Amino acid sequence: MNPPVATPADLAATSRRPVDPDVPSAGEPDAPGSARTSRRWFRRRPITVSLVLAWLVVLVALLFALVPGLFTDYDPVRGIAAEKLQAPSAAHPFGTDQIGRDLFARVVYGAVHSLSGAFVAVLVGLVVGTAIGVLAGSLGGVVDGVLMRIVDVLLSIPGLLLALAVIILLGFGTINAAIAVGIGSIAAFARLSRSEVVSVRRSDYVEAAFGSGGRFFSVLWRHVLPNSVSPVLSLAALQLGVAILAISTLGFLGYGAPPPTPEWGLLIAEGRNYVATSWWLTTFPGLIVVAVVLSANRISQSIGRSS
Amino acid sequence: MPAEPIVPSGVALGTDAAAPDAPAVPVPVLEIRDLSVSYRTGHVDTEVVHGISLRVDPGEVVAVVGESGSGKTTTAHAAIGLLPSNGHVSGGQILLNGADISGWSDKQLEAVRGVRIGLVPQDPSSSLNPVKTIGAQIGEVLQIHRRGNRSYTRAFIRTRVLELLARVGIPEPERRSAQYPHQLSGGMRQRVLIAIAIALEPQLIIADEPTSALDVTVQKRVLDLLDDLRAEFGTAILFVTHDLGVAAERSSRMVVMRSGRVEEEGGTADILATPRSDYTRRLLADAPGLTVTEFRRPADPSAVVPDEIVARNLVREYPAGKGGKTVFRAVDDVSFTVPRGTTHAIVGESGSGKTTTVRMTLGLVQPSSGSVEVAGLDPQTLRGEALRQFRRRIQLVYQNPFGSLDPRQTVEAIVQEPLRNFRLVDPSARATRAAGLIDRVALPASVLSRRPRELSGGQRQRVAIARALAADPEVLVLDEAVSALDVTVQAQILGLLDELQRELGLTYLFVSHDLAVVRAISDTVSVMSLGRVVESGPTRTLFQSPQHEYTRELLAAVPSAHAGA
Repeated sequence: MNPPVATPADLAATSRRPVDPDVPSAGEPDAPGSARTSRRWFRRRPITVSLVLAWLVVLVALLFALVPGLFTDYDPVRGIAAEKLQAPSAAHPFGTDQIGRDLFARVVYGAVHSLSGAFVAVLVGLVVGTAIGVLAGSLGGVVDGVLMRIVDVLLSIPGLLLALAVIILLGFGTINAAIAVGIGSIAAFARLSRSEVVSVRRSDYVEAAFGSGGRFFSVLWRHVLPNSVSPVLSLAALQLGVAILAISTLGFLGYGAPPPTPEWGLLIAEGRNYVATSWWLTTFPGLIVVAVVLSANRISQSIGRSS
Repeated sequence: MPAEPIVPSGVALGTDAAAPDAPAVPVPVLEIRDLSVSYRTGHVDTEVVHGISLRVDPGEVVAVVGESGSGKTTTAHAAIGLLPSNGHVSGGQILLNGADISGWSDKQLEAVRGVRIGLVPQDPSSSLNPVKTIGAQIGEVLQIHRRGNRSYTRAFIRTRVLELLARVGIPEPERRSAQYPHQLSGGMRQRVLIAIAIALEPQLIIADEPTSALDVTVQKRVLDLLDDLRAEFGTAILFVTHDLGVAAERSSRMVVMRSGRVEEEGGTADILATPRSDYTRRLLADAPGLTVTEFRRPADPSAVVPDEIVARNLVREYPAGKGGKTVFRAVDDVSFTVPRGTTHAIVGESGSGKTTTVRMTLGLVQPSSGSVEVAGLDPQTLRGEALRQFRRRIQLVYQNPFGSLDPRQTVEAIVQEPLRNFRLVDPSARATRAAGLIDRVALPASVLSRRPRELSGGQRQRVAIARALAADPEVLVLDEAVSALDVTVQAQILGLLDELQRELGLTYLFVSHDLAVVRAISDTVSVMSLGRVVESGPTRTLFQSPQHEYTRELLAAVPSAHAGA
């Protein structure tokens, strides 16, 4: 994603159509095409604070998951009974829970469960959904019809209901919850990738690729996929946030990881009993989930814009 | 709408203190003095128009000629204050009836646009709003500018719209005014845009490449219409075009632009007779209609050349009408043969079935009946691997070089693609071969690492030709391959194709809507109309003694070329 920016000298020197074709057609009086023009020549947009912040949050969450020991010395599972239900302090920045476990440690150690679950969920949706969409879009005809009707059925079932049904079939656990959430997002990925593929598939360069001796799958891989994938990636980033939320929801409902796993949704569920007396037990894990989800959305938006 | 007296708007509105007391010399409708225009990219200003001057007197047609990137469109847009938001006038004056409008705000310019200057934009397919009827779009101009003029009632606007549609030659204005742009052909859409431009009877019409997207026959009709309007209303026309042929035929004065500067300016006849600058001379030589090129010498009749392409009685039908009950014959009984190493041109307007015909030749469309053989193989009978190998032998170069190259690949990857797929050379030799091909089509080696969007249209078309050559084909199908290019680039590509044919013994199937273009490159021609071949034969015979009326019409539509060598 780093197109060589044409320098003015280039433009002047080679008369490489600096203006003509991109000048907005004058039927529309107010030059709406100009933004596009300038973007083409100058793809680097100013880096915004919110985007940097979003990446920082995601980075920290990732570090939580990879090297939790770096952030806290407390044990996330074993508590010290004497220190139960303490309000946030210097020693326990997020406070402690009913059996004296440090909440910050639990949030840090919980990241790996929530994030890996989200990644698995998105991976399932991305791979299966995109495969269905690309096949449907490029083969067309009966295959397209059958695959898309299956997707329609998936879309018609409410996401949470579908996830619960799948978990009941697969059994409880973090990974199973993740797969359940992933199955729920297949439909969205399939729809989006199909619509992209359908338009790319009809382009001259794809026909030319067949003319150059390309076989079906090599053309799909080399031309159709790269040219239709960026909105799908943007959706993947968006789904990451949605999946964290969905997995937390399942954890909250007791369909995810069993206690004492410090999964974020489960933390909120456990803190619910003390919401009147110990606000920090629900508030801090909740804020962490919100921050990560919002960051994922912000990053997704930036991917979407650049494509 | 018979000649309404329109003495008025111009002179009456006509302006300010400057005008009235200079009766001797007519005040030019538009005068541009030392105009410079810059575009801002990032934080750098790039000047693209460097101090040009030109004037348009009342009732005069001035053509601004130049290739893409010469700044002609920018100049025209600056004259009406429609530069894109990153462009600005960095020097000079734009005088409209003697008043400098270069510093005016959009608000002030609104009073001028449409009322005193009309604009006919370049691309009829994207310049109309697709979700409004054309009647509403013409009416909009009248509505916007009525400003308290009580005579502009709804009924009046409606009558006026119908008058305008009738005036620009649209049949059944009642029915058409209720239709949407997609229901109209390209030529008709351009007429609608002209109707919008003349709705308020401006003194000046700026026509920005008004016919570049149209077939030659349609182009002729649209240009005739502009001529009539000028004669009728005395409207001055500033005509922006890359086609010197069109400019030569239609303008009284001509301004030749290059790289943002005026190369030459003067009476059209003078410039044509004695061009002063080298650039003008080159443009003249490249314009297919203006320079009488030699016909190809007919091949030695005694030498027996086998036919490379044989098409017999090709028919392609599509279901049409409600529920597909009737059929539409896109291609109706088309036959032609192309001897090896020669060029056969298929000429016709859009919708004549020429593209369907070549797609059947390529095996991309199945004929409803009839057969085609390329190098002894019938693509209809081929499947799978055999079809893939067949495709190597007949390569297609597309009309639009902006759509036929994968935007994510580098030029090197694009050219290597056939080498890879057909395993024509060792993987290690691919890069060398690709570089050789790029050199073959006269591109510098530096383009290899670039992506298509960094190249100009002509360069992209060369890349497309290099890719086609990489497959080492016997037949090259060129589907309007030069139609989207400037005349100069067009001449270069045609020259390149000619050279390649001589050296590699290629057979060409050349599709075009423009007879002038095929004159120099083709040995034989088929003229298609409404799915049928109306006339075919050796190029010289066809040009010198056209038999069919449609062929004569096509020849007459070539600007300034008056057939016969």
